[in-house]
Amino acid sequence: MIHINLKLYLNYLLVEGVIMSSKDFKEEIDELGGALFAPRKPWRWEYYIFVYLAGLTIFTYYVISEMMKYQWDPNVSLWGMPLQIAYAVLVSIIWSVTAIIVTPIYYYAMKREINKALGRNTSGKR
Amino acid sequence: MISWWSILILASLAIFFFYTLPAVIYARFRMKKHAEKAFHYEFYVASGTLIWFTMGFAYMAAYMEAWEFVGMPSVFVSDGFQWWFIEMLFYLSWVPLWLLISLRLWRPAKIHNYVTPTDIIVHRAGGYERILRILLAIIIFYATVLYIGMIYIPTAGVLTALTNGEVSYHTFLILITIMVIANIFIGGFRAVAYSDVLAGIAFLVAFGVMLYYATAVWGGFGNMMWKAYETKLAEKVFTIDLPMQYFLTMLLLYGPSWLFIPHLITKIYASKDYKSVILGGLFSKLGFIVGAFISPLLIALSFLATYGNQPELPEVTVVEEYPARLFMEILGPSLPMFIIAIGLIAISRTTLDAMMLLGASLIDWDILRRGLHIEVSPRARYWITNGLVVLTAALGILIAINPEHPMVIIGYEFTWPAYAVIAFPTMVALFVDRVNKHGMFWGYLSGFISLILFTYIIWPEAPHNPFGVWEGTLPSAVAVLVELLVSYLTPPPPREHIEEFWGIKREIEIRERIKA
Repeated sequence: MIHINLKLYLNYLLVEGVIMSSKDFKEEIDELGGALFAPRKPWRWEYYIFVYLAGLTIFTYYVISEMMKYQWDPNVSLWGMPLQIAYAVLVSIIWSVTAIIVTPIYYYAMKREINKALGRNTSGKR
Repeated sequence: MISWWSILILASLAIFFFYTLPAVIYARFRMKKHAEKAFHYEFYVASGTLIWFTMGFAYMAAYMEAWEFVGMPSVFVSDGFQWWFIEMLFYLSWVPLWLLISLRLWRPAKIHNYVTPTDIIVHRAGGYERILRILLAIIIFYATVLYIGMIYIPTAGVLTALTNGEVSYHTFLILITIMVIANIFIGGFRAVAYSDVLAGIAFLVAFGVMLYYATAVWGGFGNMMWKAYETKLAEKVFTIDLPMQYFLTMLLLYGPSWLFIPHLITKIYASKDYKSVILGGLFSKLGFIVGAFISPLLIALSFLATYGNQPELPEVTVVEEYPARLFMEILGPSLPMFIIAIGLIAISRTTLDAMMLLGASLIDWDILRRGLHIEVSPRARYWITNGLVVLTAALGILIAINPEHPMVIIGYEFTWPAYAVIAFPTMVALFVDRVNKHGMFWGYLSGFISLILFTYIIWPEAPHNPFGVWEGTLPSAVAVLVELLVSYLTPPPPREHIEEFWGIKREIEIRERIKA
């Protein structure tokens, strides 16, 4: 009768690389920091960014046209500021707000992707 | 005989060096552990182990730098508001697109441990490796040396202005180089990133001091703004004479070209996990608000309010001396001025060190090691690496010795177009699987040749094209069109290659093991 020592057999598989220990497996996921679960193709909602860019192009065209029309003129102001400076402030507000909106969206999307792969629910629990 | 104040400014370089030294030594200590496993991966990208906090400051440093903080207010005053405004426009498209691209760059970078921006390109191409590496390394190195030269100009310009010209521009060029190189020698990219944290803190303190004094002198921001706007010089400064298409191509092409800007790519490689990429990216925006928006606007307006009605602007070696001249005029030799000087030194070195590392890595890793397959002993490798950092720094100094244009104009006209001919074909290859090695090779080659032809031979005058569009537009269009055309006329890349590049097999294995 052949006795199989399960522990020895598992060790053999580990040494031969047939299976990886759970420690190696966890380490691999940790070392890659979620990279394997970052999607290579854009998420569907990311295509809306290009619609947003089209809007920004129209906005830029309008702003530059206005600045070309009025040039330097101390009598023209917007929100109590010279026109050019007011537009610069407006542009900076737009990219600041965009950054504030986009960052948590990506953070959540990546977290969800990783949790989904690890078989957890969105709050991170199995 | 130089004054005590100039000696103090000279000493401030040493003071700043010793201020960041603990971080650099800590980096050296941490580096040893990783360098034994893979020297280049550690020296050039900190083995991809930097957490979100460190990465946040490293990203902030990319914008709280001399190009934005000193270069922008100077060009605002010397060449016009519009040159600063296009920098605000480029950010409109960069911000929403940054994470879309950076996560897709980070995934293969993390899986395959890339060292240089060239790594990801040649891996995706899957052929022509040696020649493509050498070609790309030359293009990126050319642009990087220009960039380093560009950053040197304000760095040395600011410091010489702080001494009222008592210590020469060229002396500071040498001193700042020694300080930056010392940090790199000790701890490579890790030292650069750790000292970015301390430099960032120093700069934010100095920024607070500047903000207070620049507005307090004029009784608030509103008063200063209108005073500046009503000066004689303001009429010239606020005139818009660039064509509409230049602004639009800045928004739609210059902005996206920055999504594959090499010194930000190496920061993506250095990120430990997705939090470092995403939150680090958020910090870069904070850096941009402080370094590229508030500071240049404030300094330029304060400068205009101070000098705008004078018959001539103060005499300077390079226009980048203006911000320092302004604060010397307002504060004179004093403690607040010394704090500002430390802050200016902090932002001066932030990009220089990362760019020097990048330049050295291109020759070291891409050309010598992977392109020409030169293997050396670990000891020789250490000296070659450090020697290349010195060589890169020295070439940058050559650009900065006698600058013909303000640094911002050099950037728009020469440096960013060279990066753009790399950026666009690369981003297309990331998302279009049909792009193959032939398309990529001929795309980069035609992009670079057309850039050189357009810039130096066919249209030597800015904007180097007859259509009034941004300098990088035509060469980038040529590169992408040739890439797509050649790719679709030749067989598609093997499916296995694309899957290996993206680590699909590994991903499936891990997902299956999790399920099991």
